[in-house]
Amino acid sequence: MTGRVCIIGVGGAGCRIIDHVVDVAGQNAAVIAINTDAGALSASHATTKLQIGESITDGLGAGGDPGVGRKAVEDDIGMIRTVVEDADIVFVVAGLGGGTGTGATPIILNIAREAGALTLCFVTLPFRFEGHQRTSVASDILGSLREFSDILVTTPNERLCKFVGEVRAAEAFEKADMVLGSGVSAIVRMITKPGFINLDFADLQNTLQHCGGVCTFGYGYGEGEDKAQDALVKLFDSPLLSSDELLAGAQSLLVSIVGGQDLTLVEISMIMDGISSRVKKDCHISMGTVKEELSEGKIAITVLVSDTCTSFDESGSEKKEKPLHNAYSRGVSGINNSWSAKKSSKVDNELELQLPLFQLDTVSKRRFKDIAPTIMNGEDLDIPTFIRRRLSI
Amino acid sequence: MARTPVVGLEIGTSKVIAIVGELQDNGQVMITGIGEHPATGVRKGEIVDFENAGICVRAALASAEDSARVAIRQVHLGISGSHISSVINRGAVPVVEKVGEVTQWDIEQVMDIAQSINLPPDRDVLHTICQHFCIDEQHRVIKPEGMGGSRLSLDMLVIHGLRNQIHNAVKVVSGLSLDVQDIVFSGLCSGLSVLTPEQKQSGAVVIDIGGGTTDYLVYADNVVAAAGAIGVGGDHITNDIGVAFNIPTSQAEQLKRKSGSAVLDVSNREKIEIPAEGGFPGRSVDVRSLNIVINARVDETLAMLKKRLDENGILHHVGAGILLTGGGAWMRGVSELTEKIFGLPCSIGKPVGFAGLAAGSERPQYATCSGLVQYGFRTPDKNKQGSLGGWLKGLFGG
Repeated sequence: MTGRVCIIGVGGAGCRIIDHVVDVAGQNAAVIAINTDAGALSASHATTKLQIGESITDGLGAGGDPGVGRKAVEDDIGMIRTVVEDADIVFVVAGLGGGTGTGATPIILNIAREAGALTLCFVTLPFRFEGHQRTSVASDILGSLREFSDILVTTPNERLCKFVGEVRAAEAFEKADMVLGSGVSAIVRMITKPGFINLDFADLQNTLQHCGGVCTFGYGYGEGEDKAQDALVKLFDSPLLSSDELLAGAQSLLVSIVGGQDLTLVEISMIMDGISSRVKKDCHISMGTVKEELSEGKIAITVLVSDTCTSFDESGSEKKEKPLHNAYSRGVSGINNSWSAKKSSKVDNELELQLPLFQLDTVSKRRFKDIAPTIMNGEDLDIPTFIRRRLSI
Repeated sequence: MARTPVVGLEIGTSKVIAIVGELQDNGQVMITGIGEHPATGVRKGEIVDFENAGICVRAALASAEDSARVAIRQVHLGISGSHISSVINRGAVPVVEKVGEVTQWDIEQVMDIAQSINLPPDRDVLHTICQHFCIDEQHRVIKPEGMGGSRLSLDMLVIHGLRNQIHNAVKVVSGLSLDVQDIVFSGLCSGLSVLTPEQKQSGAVVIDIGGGTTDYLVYADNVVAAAGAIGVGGDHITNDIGVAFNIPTSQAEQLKRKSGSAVLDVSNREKIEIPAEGGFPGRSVDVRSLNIVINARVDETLAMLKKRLDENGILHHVGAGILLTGGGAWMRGVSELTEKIFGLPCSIGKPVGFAGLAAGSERPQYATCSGLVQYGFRTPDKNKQGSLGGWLKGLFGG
């Protein structure tokens, strides 16, 4: 994808998550932090920082009130327009349940859509221990996020608990940020970095639209002599992927392989064979490779798996996730970069342990989404024809 | 002879329409009152919210009462939804009496058999319509009585729908302390009201594009030969537009009505500004893109319908072409597209043969409801209906 990519973190959590993406984004994407809290903003690693709603909050944050977050962004709408103006793809990352992220995200997405960009929204849902109030604030806003994003990925923080084990709250937040950061990075990398075989937004959208429900990603990487084999083993050993059902039931699969100049066709084919052998014959597999200068001697695999036997679009019920395994050499992605910097030796294990479940939703049914679908010849007629016929408009 | 007025009530996806009609001495139906109200609580022709649907029905009936100056106690209820479909059921009896001459008794027997059909337990029969009698090898016999033969058979078109859906619509009306005199498939009413006797004779297709469903009815050789509904209508077009351009539903609806067309004009480079509204900041939309979205949906729906009718080869019996009715008939380019897809001439069907309130009642969106009134006068009261009633009903396709 040659288009301009813009990654926006909104609110405290959003900004912390994109800190993990800055390194991987590099030259290919603008990383923008948007917050009402001037103090938190100054700590961000983002290349561009926008403070919104200064006149309302005096730079002190939204105080957990989405109304304030919304007003703040409406006050500075011109500023947002400028940053998304020429973007072709806009990622908006936020943690729901608080003030700024919850209130401002729908507006920012809408502005980006209006500017003609494809929008991809990543949000986290609050931990249960954050209280009922924050949970209900978060779920209230999901509807409007659906309206404004081409792809919506929601990750309940609660799910992460299973993978991070018993940790203190502060640490839990930190880990949630990192995992989501790694998910964003993986997708940014897939569509922005050059490779031998490119994957673009359309592939991504296609895969995600086919799964439309809950999805997971995970990764692991391999290095040294048997780096491809190593990466593959870690991919299959990860907690989510180790369940055979998930891969076996997958209807579509997106595989991204990140490697250095030394990545060989033999390695690619070995990885793909390894993955293909675990899935159904008719599973639709899209694959791409990414060349990373720093990845010499390392391979990372990222897999997004959709399970359409439970997809809501096709069959009216929920779908399952795809595990995404991202095994790459040392410093490939933002996540990996930051992780290797901070926790060096623990990186592999932790990455593999933290396979979040993503909630994916396609946005095309709108007013028909709560009623029985009109199915004819296996097609859900409530989904716009132009989408099913893949017409460009 | 003063007959009680008949009230037709259609609880549509986009609006509720009630029409009051009286039978004049010359046999023509005079429309004396029309009431309509935007509908809520209805999706794709099916009731999803009793309370709101009830409020809308009450409002529509109240304004019909006002304009007709009558008190409405009972209604003929139109029903639609993708659950409605039809099937041909064949009944046959041996002719035994009087050395093999068909008697009225044989006819009644064969009608009884052809009408009794085994439907899944969740379905109810809405209408049974006689097609043609067949005596031994002689097909398409219209009046078999007195003819010789050893075996009489009859094809019956059975229109049926999901019991729960039908019950829901009735419940809305009875919740307002009104009686439902009869339940009629909307598509059948549209056909009754827009087709002339000549068109029925030579065969015609009526396509009623409503808010939530597209109903169809095919007349061949003066009888209703096929009927049904597809659960796709104008709402889907609006929804598609909303999704395509990410605009609110109200704006999408307006855009569809003002600028939409079902045919593509590649040279059109016009852009339309959509004003800001509520939290929506406004944007501009390419007319060409808009029409691609609409064309895809309308093309798909009509093609689906054509495929369905092709399956039973019925289009060969259609000589008078296609009539489009319902609110969707207003869509620019839709008759052009229909002609292209079906390869048959197509025009807009408006209610014909009604007196009174002419200007209002001649619009295609009133076709169903005025047809309901006509149906009400043509069919005897269900309670008094004997075999003669059934016979008339069959003959008239009512």
